[in-house]
Amino acid sequence: MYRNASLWAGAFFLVFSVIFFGTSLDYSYKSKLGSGIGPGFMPFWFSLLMVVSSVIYLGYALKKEKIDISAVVPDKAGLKNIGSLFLYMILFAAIVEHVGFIIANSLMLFLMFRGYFRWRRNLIISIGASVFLYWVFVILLSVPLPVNMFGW
Amino acid sequence: MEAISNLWLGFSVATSGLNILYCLVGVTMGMIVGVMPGLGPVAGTAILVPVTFGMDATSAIIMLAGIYYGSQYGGTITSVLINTPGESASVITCIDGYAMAKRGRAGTALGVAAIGSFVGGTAAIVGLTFIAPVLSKAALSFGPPEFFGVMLLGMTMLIGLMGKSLLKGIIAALFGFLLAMIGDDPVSGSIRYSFGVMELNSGLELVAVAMGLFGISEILLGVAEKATRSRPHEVKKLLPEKNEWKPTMGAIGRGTVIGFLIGLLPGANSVIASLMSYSVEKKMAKDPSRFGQGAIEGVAGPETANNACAGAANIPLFTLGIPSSPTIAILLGAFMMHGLAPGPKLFVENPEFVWGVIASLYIGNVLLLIMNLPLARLWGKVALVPFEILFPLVLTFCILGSYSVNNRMFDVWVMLFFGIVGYFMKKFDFPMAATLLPFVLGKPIESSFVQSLLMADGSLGIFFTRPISLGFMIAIALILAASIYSSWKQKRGTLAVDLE
Repeated sequence: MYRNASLWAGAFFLVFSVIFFGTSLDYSYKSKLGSGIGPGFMPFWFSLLMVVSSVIYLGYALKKEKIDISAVVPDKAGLKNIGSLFLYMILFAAIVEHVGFIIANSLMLFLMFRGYFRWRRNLIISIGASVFLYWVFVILLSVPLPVNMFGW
Repeated sequence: MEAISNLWLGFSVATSGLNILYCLVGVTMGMIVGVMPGLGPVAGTAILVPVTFGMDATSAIIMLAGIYYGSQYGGTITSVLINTPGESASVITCIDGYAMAKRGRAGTALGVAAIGSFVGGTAAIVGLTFIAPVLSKAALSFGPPEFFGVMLLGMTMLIGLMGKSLLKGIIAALFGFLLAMIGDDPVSGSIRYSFGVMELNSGLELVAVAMGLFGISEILLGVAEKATRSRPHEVKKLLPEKNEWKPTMGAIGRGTVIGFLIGLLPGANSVIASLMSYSVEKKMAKDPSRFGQGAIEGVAGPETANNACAGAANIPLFTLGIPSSPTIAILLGAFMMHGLAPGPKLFVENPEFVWGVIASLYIGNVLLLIMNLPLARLWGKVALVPFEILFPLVLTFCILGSYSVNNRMFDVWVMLFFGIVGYFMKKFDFPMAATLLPFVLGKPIESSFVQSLLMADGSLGIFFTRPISLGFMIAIALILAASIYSSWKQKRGTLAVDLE
């Protein structure tokens, strides 16, 4: 049964809606002023509807929509690619506010282009693209980006 | 006459300063977005929203709108040349467009698509010029119940017509509504669903959610499946044969009407328009068996319809503040970020902005015709950029875009989270547009609902006693009934295409 991916999708939406439903009970249903409704009204009904819809979908997933997990989760090579992608992005996010955009982005691009360009060309393209983007965003358009102590 | 003088004012705005340049940048970006599979108009527009922060509102919207209608042109090129739609409205063009390309007529397919797109797009803008002011005047009499009704109608159309399953559409929409509830309540101002995370007090950032759902998810799909491209067919003669002009122009005429009417409906979008046009052309053809083998009407009709629809979709946006597609939802978000509230008052309070943007649509369409007819070969080459080069650059743009909205890494994490959610939603056929639109409209819907109940002393009867609101409620009931019926009879296949 755990190989039926539709069940996992249904379970995700069910858990999400149950959390939102439970939390909605903390907000007042009626307005404190006059006859209006309070901040809990809409969340209560939307989350309740979603709980019901998710349960119906789970039933549907059990009976009709059986999707094997292999059709949804990437194969080993795909998982490895996605895993590396996330690793590079986490690395970027972890260092960008310390080393600045140009260094962090050059490193991320260099790692992502690995295997496609030879390392010297890769280095030039990664740094070139990062400097160009920095110039467009920060210099030309005045959009602030995370920078290091030297201002880049 | 008033519209003409307003349009004159609009042209003076659209041609002043750097606005023509912004229009050119917008439509060029739109072409790139349309040509490159994996970078749809939603992510393309969202990426550029932060770039516009330093601009004035008119220049910003001129550029962002250019991406939307530019992408409708660009999506055709890859559909015809490599059988891969650059964006969803061009899916149907693959059938006959690619068949024409295989027979050595790629140039003609691109030519009629460009002419049709220009005619459809321009006709829709003419409609926008003359209908929108009248509609916005009528909409000035709308109160909260009417606005609630029209927004709910848009949502219902989206859920009812799109996606392969009504249940999945409902779940996706409720997911979007609940995400919209995160942050401050629009009426009382109290904070909901922040779970102690300070960054959530102001709600989830639209640009981050949209880029995650529509941009990052595409990258993940491409990375997981090692996307490859086939070599494009050669582009030769661009215009049709003498005997083909009559059926082509007929299809363009019908496509214009279909696309325009569908564009007027909040919640409907250019995917429906192009599908409907294809189906009409096939039904009207003397020999329907030609369709699928390279029928010129199968390219001219849908391509005209999707551009007419994209142009007409500006009408509900400008007059009512209702987005009819995810890209228009991003535009709506951009309006708000620039301190503008789309809706009937916009024509009265910001005529220079409104007419400047409308005039820029005319200019943009001419620019796109020039880009598409003589430069079609060049765009075919752009489509060949390998995925290995494209995805790191798109990813960088997504990170830059989501970071620079609020200058914080939190939005980058939100974007990545919704990238994963979007990946799985695509795999499971949950319509993502049905999540994004309720996410954008969640708070306005809640505000108008609360205000309506306050007006009626807490009675829901107010939605059924005011004539316009009652009309919307009847339309909603009819759409829901039709949708449930078609699901029950399992006939949803006819329009079962996700608008992503």
